[in-house]
Amino acid sequence: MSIEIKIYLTPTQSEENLCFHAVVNSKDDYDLFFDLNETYESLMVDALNGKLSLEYFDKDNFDKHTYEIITDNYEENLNSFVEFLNDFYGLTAVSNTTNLCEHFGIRLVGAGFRGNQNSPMLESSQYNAMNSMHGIKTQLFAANNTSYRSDDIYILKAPGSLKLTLEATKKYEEPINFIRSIYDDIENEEINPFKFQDIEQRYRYQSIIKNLNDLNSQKRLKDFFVIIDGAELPITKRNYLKEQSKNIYNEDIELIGIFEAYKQRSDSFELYAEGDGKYYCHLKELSYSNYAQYEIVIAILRELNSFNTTRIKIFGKKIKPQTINITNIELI
Amino acid sequence: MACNGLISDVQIENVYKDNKFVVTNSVSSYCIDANTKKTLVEIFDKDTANMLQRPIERTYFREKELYSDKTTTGKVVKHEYFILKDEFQGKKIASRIHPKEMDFYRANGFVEIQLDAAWDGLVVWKKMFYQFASVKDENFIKIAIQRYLREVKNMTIEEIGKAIKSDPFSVNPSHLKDSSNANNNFSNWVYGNCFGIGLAKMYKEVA
Repeated sequence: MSIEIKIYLTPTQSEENLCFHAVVNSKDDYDLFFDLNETYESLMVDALNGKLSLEYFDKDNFDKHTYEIITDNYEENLNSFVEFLNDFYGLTAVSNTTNLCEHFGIRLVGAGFRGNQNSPMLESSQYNAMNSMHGIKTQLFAANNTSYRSDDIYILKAPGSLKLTLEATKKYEEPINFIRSIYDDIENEEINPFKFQDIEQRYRYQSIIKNLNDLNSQKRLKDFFVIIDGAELPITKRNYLKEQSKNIYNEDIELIGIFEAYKQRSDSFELYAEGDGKYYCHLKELSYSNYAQYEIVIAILRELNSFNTTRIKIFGKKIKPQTINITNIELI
Repeated sequence: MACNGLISDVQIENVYKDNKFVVTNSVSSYCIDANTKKTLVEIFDKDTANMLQRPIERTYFREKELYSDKTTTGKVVKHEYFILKDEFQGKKIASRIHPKEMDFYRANGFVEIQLDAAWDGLVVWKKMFYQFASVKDENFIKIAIQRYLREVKNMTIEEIGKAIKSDPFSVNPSHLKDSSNANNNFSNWVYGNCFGIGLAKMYKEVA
């Protein structure tokens, strides 16, 4: 595990354009250090505005001192801040100069930068975009990939546009090919959510399609591009993608598993399928479409006791990776 | 002295003895202004050895902004320093004196204790019911604890989850120590990692 901080100095030197990116090099650590960016970025905003004043304790002399970054010089403050992160927090910090003042994507893809409820640092569309990006990254890069760096994939925002970039390196040949094939499927209107035999690959594919559609649907982030290997590929089949992302999980499914308690409030129950985890099984659709069958299902469920390990077989349509609209059940 | 109405040196003398290790003390005070008193206390053991790295330092305010409610003011004591020499640490001297301080503040109408807590002691302060004055400070130390458990103790995410549950401050102190190498203890790691260690503003309500 390592933490690396990148700070990007932009030509338009305003708080709005500050780019701050705390990189944590594994998915697990991403979850652990969810507040990292929020915490350190607030320090950076103070520092670059020349308003950083912190007391610290000098153990050798048993004395308190005050550390300040208070000049009006933006670049000088930035350099001081980089040193400060290293000296006070033992963090590896680097600053880069970039002419991409629109390069706000860097802020989105760090370790969970999100502001807080009362003072959100991101517009909701940006926040949603960040979540979608994280979803795609999760699907592209295995959790135990120690070479993975969260800035291998990021969003660029040019005025009025959104660009998803996957940096091409030999290391990531497979993820790049994978997302290229998804891009081709969208453009050729050939999405087949069930085309993989391997169920994990299938979920991976479905999830990325859903997340790409979510990115596309952000009202403030129009004109969506995928940049793969330096080539900019606009997604033009928006309506098709939208339609497919709705249908993508409509798979008929039969599963055997252990019944968990029925919840009247949501008209649903949970099922633990061996080796496949928990499924959320909903009955509402059945009650609308075939009430007689719904009553039969409910009658069977009433007889079940969640304290026993009752195995049942369920039939239905999968609407999300772990969510099923039930059409029938059988006791085994 | 005009500020002596805040609190008397005789009372202060009585607080900083524990009748076990701290046998005598010397108190010197001065007024910063009519409403603010600064006091320095030296404490000595039975062999009249000075037990401190530097004098205990307390500042008493008749009116000061409260950390617990920044819209209001009240009678506040600021704990500046209480640093024992190495040979006197671990004898629970500070934890025996602290309840006496609390009683003393309560009797004199203080509403809040404020302090700047060094990172290495934050877990202890938290366990003594001190609160952080800002969420930012709290987040810094949470991240420091998580980094330590991950980087130094090489704990897995699951192990860290079990060790800190939902609150990093609930961590068992044994997780912050390395029995085979004291240099790897959390407090040493924090100092070793940093040129100067951050101080977090904390408070405790007296009532």
